[in-house]
Amino acid sequence: MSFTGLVTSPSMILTDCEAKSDVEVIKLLSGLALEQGYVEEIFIEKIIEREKAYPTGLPTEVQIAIPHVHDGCKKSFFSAAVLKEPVKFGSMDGSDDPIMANIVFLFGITDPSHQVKVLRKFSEVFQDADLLRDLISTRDNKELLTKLKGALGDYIIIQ
Amino acid sequence: MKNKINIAVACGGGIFTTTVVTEKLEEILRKNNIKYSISPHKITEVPNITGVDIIVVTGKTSEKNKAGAPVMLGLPLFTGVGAEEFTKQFLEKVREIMNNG
Repeated sequence: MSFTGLVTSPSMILTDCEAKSDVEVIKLLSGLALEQGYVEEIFIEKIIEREKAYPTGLPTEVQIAIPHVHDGCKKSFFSAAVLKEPVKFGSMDGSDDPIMANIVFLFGITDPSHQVKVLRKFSEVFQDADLLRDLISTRDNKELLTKLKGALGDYIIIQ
Repeated sequence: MKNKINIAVACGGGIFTTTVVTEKLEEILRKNNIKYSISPHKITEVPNITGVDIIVVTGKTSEKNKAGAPVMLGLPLFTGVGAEEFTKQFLEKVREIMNNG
């Protein structure tokens, strides 16, 4: 199986983010991906469309949201925002209880079949409540990136 | 008695959760010596998937499968919350289908 990590950079890892809605966070993070050349403009439209139809808030112990799509993605990437105030996302399981996300991980994936291990590793992070609590309390983006790198190792590639 | 179970896994985009949940299902089935085939789908395809015994979805859907395959919410395998309970129900369903097939 070929192995590909997800690219990211300090500019795509945000702390103290003041976004007020799910769409605002998604626009902000995917706009950064556009600036880096990881996605085409259509990606932003598609990822918002997808979030409305199939929300990505996860009913985990520490609630998070993981917007992602592959349309318009040129290079598989990872970005994150720790929110100053929790932002409401729809729940992936379709329940009416909204997810109040304190942290949002936004992904672009070009070919999921080549990224099984990476995606699996990330899913372990989503289940790790202690790690998530630590990430959420981080105020400096470089420190946040260091912690993420510590948890994900070679699965993220810092550019 | 069927000797193999055919499963469709479906999520909103057919990417992230499908990929992870498929891996977990494979692990469960292998551990229980059950032969399987698994195919990835999008949730919008749920009503029209044919030739499968069970559909595991990872996102919201109120759609039923027109060919009559039961639809199970497999998100617990992704979040870990309720994973054990899901695994138990899933295996019960698989065995029921295989014994009656």
